[in-house]
Amino acid sequence: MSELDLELVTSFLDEATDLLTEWERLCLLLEKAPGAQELNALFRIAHNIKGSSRAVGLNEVGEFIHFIEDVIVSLKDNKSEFNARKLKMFLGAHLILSDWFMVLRMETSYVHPYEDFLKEFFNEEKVFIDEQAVEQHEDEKGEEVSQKVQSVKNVLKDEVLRVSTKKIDGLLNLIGELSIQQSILENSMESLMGKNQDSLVISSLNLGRKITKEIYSTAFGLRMTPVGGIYQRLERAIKDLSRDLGKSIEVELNGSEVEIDKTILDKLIDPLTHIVRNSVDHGIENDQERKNANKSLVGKITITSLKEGDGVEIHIKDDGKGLNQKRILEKAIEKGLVKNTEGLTKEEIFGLIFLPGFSTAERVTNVSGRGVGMDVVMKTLEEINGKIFIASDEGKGTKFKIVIPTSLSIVDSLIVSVAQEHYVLPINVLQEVVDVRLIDLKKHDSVYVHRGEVLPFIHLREVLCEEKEFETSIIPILVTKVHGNRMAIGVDKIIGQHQSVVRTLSTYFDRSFAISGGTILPSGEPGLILNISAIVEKYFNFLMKKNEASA
Amino acid sequence: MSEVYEEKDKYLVYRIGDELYASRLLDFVEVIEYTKPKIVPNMSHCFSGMINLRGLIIGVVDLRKKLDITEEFSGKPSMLICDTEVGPIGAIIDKVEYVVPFLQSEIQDLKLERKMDKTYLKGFFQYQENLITVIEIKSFVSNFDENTHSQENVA
Amino acid sequence: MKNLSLTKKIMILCFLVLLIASMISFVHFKWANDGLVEKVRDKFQTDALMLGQNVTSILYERYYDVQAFATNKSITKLDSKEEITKTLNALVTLYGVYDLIMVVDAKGDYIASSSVDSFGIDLDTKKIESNYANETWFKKVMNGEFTKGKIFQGTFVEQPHFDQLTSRAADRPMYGTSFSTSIKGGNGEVLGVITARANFKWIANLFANFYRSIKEQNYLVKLSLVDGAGKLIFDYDPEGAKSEKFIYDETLLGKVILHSENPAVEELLKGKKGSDFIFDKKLGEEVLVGYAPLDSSHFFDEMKWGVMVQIPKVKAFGNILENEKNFLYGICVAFGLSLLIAFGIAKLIGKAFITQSRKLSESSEASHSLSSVLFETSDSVASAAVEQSTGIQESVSALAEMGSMISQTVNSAKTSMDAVQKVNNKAKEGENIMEEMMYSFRSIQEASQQLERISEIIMEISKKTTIINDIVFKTQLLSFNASIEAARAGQHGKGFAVVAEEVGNLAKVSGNAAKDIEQMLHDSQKQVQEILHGLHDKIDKSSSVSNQAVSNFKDISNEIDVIVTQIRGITDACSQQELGVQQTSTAMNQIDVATQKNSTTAQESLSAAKKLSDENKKLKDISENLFRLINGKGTKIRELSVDETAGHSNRGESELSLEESIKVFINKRGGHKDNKDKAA
Repeated sequence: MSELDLELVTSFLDEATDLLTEWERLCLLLEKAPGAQELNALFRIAHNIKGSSRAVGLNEVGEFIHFIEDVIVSLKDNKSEFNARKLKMFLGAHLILSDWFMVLRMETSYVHPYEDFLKEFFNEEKVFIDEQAVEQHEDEKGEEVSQKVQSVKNVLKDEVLRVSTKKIDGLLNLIGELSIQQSILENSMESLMGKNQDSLVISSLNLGRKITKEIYSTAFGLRMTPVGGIYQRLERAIKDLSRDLGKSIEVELNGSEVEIDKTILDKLIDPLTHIVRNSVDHGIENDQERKNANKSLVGKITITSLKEGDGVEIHIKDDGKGLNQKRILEKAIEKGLVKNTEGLTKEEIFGLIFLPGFSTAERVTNVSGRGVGMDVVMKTLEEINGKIFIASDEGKGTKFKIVIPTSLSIVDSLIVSVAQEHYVLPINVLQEVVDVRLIDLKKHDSVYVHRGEVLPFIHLREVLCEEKEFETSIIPILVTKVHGNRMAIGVDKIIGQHQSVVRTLSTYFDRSFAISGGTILPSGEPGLILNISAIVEKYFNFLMKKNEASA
Repeated sequence: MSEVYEEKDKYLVYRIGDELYASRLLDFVEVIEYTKPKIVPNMSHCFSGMINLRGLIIGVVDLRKKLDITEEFSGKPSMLICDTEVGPIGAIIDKVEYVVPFLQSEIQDLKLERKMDKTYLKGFFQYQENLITVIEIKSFVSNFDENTHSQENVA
Repeated sequence: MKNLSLTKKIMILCFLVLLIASMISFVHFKWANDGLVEKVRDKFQTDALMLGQNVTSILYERYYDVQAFATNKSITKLDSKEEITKTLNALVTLYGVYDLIMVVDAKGDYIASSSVDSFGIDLDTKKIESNYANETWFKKVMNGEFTKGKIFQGTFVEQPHFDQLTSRAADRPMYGTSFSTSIKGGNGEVLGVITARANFKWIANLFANFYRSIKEQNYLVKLSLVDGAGKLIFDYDPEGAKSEKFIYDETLLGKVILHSENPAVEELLKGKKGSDFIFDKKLGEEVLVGYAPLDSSHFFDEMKWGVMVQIPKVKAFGNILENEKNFLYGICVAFGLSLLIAFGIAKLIGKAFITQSRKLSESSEASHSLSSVLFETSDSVASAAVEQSTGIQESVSALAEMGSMISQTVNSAKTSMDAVQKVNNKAKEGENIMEEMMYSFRSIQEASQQLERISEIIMEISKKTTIINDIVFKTQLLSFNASIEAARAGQHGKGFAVVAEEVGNLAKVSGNAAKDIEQMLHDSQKQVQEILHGLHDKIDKSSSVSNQAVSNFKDISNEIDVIVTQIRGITDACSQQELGVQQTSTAMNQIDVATQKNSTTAQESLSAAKKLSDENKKLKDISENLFRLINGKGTKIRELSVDETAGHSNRGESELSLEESIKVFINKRGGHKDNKDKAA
C-alpha cells in the first residue's frame, strides 16, 4: 500500500473515529428518548462512514455498515420499532468498528470478524463464512481477535494522539510569545553588556533562540496536512453528482502530497467542492452534447496541487464546454449586476460570475444554480488571503486557478523604518532593494528610473505620514510588483529581515488602507504589516497619470 | 443592598478631566496600566495607536482627546480594555475610581447638556455627592472617528 | 742681505719653500705616472696572451673534429658516394667552419666530398675529382707524420694559406687551414684519408669579439696573428681599414714577413712574451705592442704562432699624457698663487711690526715724562702729610661728643618698648576669646548638617511612599479586574466580587494612608527646611561678624608686633652707632700715626722716581734700534722722527687720560699746591 493511500486511510480513520464518538453519544440519547432527529443523525454517520470507507478502498467496513444502515432506514421509515435490542446492536456495532479502526491504523488490510454479531442480531448465515468452520474455531478465533485488538491498543496508546487544532494554535501563540521574549532578552542583553559579552551567556542565548525556532517550526508542522486529505471528498462529490446527472466523468488527482495549514485546508473544502460541482453540473456536457462536439464520451476533471513560492496553487480543470461570455454578460445585465458592458476584458467578464446573486444555470438543479456558490467561493478565498483566476476556452474547457498561502500565521518580511516607526513589509511582493541618492530622485519627482525602466515612485512617509521631506541623502528604495505593476517605494531605513507571526487585527484597523495585519516586532512592540498591494493600487495609476501630465 | 443588584447592574466609575463617568462593568475586559501606544498611520486624531496586550494587538482611543479635554492630568493614566463588536479596544482615561452597583431604574434620564451624542449618553446617577455620567462605552470607543463636537452641533 | 727689509726677506724664503715643494710633488707624480704606463703595457701583454689562448682552444677543437669525422660509420664504409656526400654536407652545415671536407682512398683517389661550403654556397665537386697521392697532406697522413701537440696527435695540420683545393671547388680564393687524418677500417687498416678544410671565420669572429671587448675599455687596437716564420697569418685592424669586416688580403696574408721591421715579432719568434714600443712606419708614429706566443698544452709543437695587440702610443696613454699636462699647468698656477699670497702676508706682518715698534717708542717716551711727574708728586705728598695730621686731631674730639648723644637715645627707646609689650599682651588675650567663640559656632554648624541629613532621610522615605503608591495603584487595578472577572462569572463570582471589592477598598485605604504619610513627610520636611534655612542665615551672619572681630584683633596684634620690631631696630641701630663712633676715633688715631709714616715714604719714592727716569732713557734707545732693524737702514730714522711728532700730536685719548688721571690724583692729595709744582 502506497504512502499516499496510507495517508488517506489515516485521515479517514481520524474522521471516522470522530464520527464514532458522535455515534456513541447518539446511542445514549436514543436510550433516553428515541427520536427521528437522532435516528437521522445516526443514519448520516453510518452513511458517511460507509461512503468514505469505500472511497479509501476499505470495502469490508462498508459492507458491515451496510447492515446497520438498513436497520436504521427501517427504523426511520417506521417499518420496525426501536427497542433495547436495537440499541444494543448499535452499541455492539460501535464496539466492533472502534476495534476495527484501531487495528486498521497498524494493518490496513485488516478485516475484523463480525460473524458473531450478525448471528446475534440478524440470525443470518453470512454468505462468505462457512458456519461449521466458525463453530469449530469460534473460541480460538475470538481469543485471537481480542488479543490482536489488545496489542494494537497498547501500541496505539504510545503512537497516536489526537489534538484539537485549537490547542495547537494556543501552543503556537505561546511559542510566538516565547520567541518574542527571547529576542527582547537578546536585545536587552546586548545593550546591557555592551562589548564585554560573556560567551557562555551568548552561546546559551543563541542555543535558546535555536531551540525556540525549532519548537516553533515543529509545532507549526503539526498544523500542516497534505491536500490529499480533501481529494477523496472532492472525488466523491464528483462521482456522486455525475452519477445523479448521468454523466460519466474520469477524475485525475495530482500533487496530493502538497501540504497546507489545516485551517486553510478546512476552509478550502467548501469552495473547492463548489467549483467541482459547478464543473460537473455546468462544465461537462451530457453525452449527446459531447457526441455532437466530437469529444470523448467520458469527461475529465483534473485537480492538481503545486507548491508555488510561498504559497500553493490548486488547479481545477475540466474539458467541458467552457464559459460562455455572451451568456454571462446577458445574465449580468439581466440581474442588474453590471450596466455598461463595453470595454470589459475577458477576465473581467469571467469575474462577474463571482458577484453575489449571479447564476447562469438555466434551470435550478438540486446541485447548483441557487445563485449562491461562486460568490461564497470568492468570499471564503478572500478570508484566507487566496485568489482565484479563471481561464476558459469556449468548447474546450475551463480552468480555475486558486492561489493560497501555505500558512496564514507566518510571513517572511522586511522591517523598515519610516519616520522613526518600524513597519513590516511582506517580502513576497518585493523584487529588489536599491540604495538611491536623493538628488537622483528629485530631478524626476515622483519617478524613479530603475535600470532604464521608469517606475512610479512614492516614499512611505507620504503614504503613512503625509510628509514629503526625507531626512537622509541616500534612501533605500524597494521595487515591488503587484498585479504586474512595478513600482518603487522609498523608506527611511531598512532594519532587517524577520519571520513575522501574523496577528489578525480588529476590523477597525481597516480604516487605515495601508495595513494588512499586525505582528509583534522583535522588540516586543506591536508592529503593522503594510498592505503593499493596496498602496500600489492606490498610487500606481495616480502617479502614472501625473507623470504623463508632467511629461 | 447587594442582594438586590445583579452583576449586570455594576458600574465602573472613572475620571476623565474633572468629570466622573460610569459604564457597565461587563463591557470591560480588563483595566491595565498606561503603556505608550505605537502610532498607526492614517487614523483619526483620537486614535492613539496600538499596544501589545499579551500577544494581542489592540487599538487605543484617547478619551481625553475624544472629549476635547486639554488640561493636564498629573497622575498615572489607566487604560480600560473594552470588548466591542469590532474587537477589543483600549480607552485611555485619567483614573479608575470605584465599582458601584446601580439599578437601571435609579439612573436618571438625560436632563443636562453634555458635549456628547445622545446615542452614547445613557443618563446620570448620584453617588456620594458626585454626579456621574453613564456612557455606553462600547459604541463610544468603537466610533472613534466621529468628532463628538460636530455630533453635538448636528444634534 | 742686511740691507733688505723684513718683508723682502720673508718673500724670498716663501719662494724657496714653494719651489722645493713643487719639485717634490712633480717627482712623485712622475713615479705614479710611470706605474700607470707599466700597467697599460702589462694589460696589452695579458690581452695578447688571452687572445692566443682563445685561438689555441679553437684550433684544438678543429684538430679533433676531423678525427671524429673519420670514425663516422657512413664514411668508414667508403662505398656509397652519395651517402658520404650527404653526411659530409650535414657536418659542414652543422659545424659551419669547414668549407670543404673531402675523402680520398688509400691510393689518393677522390671518393667523395661535401658539396656546399660553410656559407651554404654550392661547390663544384667535379673540379676536384682527381688523385691527391702527391699532396703533402696525403703523404703525411699515409706516413703517419702528424702534427703533434704536447698531449695529442692523430691529425695533420697545414699552416693557414689560400687553399687551392677549396678555391677550385668554390671558384674563388679561400683562406684556411686543413686538418687531415686517416680513415681506418675495423682492423686498424688504413682505408683512406679525410681532409677537412676549415676557413678562418671562427678565428676572425674570435678576434672581432676580442676587439670589441677591448674597445669597451676605450682602446682601439690592431690584432695580428703571426706564424713561426714571422709571416702574418691574420690581422684585424678595423681602425686602419675603417671597417669591422674581415679582409683576406692575398698580398699580405702568409706573405709579409714582419720581423725585419718589427722587434716585437723578433721576440715572439724566440718564444717570449712582453710589450714594447716600436715605430710604425706606416702610421708614422710610435706604437705599443703587446705580444705573446701561443704557448699552451693545447697547441702544436712545431707551429710557433704568436699574437700581437698593437695600439698607437698616443691612444694607449691618452689619459696619462693628459694628466701629466694638467698636473704641470696646476703646479704652475699653484706656485704663482702661493707666491702672491706670501707677498701679501709678508707685507702685512711688516706693517704690524712697524706699528708695534712705533708704539713701543711712544710708551717709553710717555713713561719718561711720567717718571718726572712722579718725582714732582712724591715731593708734594710729603708736605701734605703734615697738614693732614692736625685735621684728624679735631675730628676725634667731635666723635666723642656724638657717642654720648647716642647713648641717651638708646635709653628712651627701651622705655617705650616696655609699654608696647603690655598692649600686645592685651590684644593676644582678645584674640583667644574670639577663637573660642568661633569654635562654638562650628558646633552649631555641625548640628545644622545633621538636620540636613534628617531632611535627606525624609526625602528617602517619601521616595518609598511613591513605591507604596505604585503598589496601591496596581492593587486597585487588580481589584477592578477581579471585579470584572467576577461580574463575568455571574452568580458564581458573587463571593469573589465581594473579595475584589474589599481588596479595592483596602488598597484605597492604604493609598490614603500613604497619601497622609506623604503629606506629613512633606510638612516635616518643610519645617526642617525652614529651621535649616533660619539657622544657616544666623550662622552665616554671626560667623561673619566674629570672623571680622578675630581678624581685627589679629591686625592689632600684628601691628604692635611691627612697632616692637621697629623700636628694637632703633635701639640696635643706636648701639651699633655707638660702637661705630668708638671705632672711628680709634681709626683716627691710627691714621695719625700713618700720616707720620707717609712723609718718610714720600722721601723714598722721590729717589725711586729718579732711578725710573734713567731706566726709561735706556728703553728709548732699544726701541729705536728695533725700528731700524725692521725698516732697514737709511731714511728710516727720519721717518721715525716724523712719526714721533705725529705720534705726539695724534696721541690717543687713553694715554692722555692716564696722564690726566695722575694729575687729578696729585690734585686731590696736594690741593692748591698743584699749579706751582707743574710749572716747576
